[in-house]
Amino acid sequence: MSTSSSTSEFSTSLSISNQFEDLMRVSVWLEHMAQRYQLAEPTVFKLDLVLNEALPNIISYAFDDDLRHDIVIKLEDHSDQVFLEIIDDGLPFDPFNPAPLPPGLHSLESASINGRGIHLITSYTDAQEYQYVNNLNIMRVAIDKASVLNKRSAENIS
Amino acid sequence: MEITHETLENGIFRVYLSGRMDVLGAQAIDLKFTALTATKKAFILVDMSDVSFLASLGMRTLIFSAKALASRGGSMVLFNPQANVLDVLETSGVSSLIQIHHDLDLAIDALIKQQEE
Repeated sequence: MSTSSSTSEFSTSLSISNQFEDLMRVSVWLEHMAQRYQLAEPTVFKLDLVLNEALPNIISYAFDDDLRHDIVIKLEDHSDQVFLEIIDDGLPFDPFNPAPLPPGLHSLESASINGRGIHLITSYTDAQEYQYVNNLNIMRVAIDKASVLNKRSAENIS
Repeated sequence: MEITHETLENGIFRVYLSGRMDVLGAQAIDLKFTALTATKKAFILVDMSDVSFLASLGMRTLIFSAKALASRGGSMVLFNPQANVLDVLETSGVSSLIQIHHDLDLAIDALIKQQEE
């Protein structure tokens, strides 16, 4: 996922703790950033969705102790794309390998209640990358500003 | 997130949801929604008109109750989700598990048919 060809319009970050209560701060922060940098509504919706899928998973499963951990969220706006990065010092976990499959959809009775989050992240972003560096999980996604809803919708339209 | 409900003339139970159905929103309504929708045989119209955001933990709440209803011989339909919310329901496949209607009469008709089966 290269960012070298475009200049960053802005870069901003937020640090939260591994507590569900802190998710409210994320919503307020995203709303504030969207207004300040005039991000388009579809882009904001996708960022909102990615944050709401990734952060609860990190808070719930990344840490095997009861200590306070910081989770850092970085947002970069480039000319054609917005980049979102989520960094935590939890257990190593690559959400994109193996690639998430759509949840089983054969019937309501047999449908899984869980497992939709990572599929949604890949569906609503245009590139995904994971690295484990210096004991940190770094998940980075890109959202094309020109895209509308999700890739499946775009495929249906075209 | 807020939840209210009413019983329609035909015995169908209409549950109104409003707000963001994210982690905190789902937590806020989960117990009441489950108590209203998943504890007995019922035919339930979930009015999504005022739900502005839906994440997978919110879908978990919907699917859990829809499964419980189905096991008791009842049924659930979702009514009038906003465009972004509908897109998430379709992308995640929930729309193939729970009927979605944008016309209130059609939504009620679908539940009445299931009552009669």
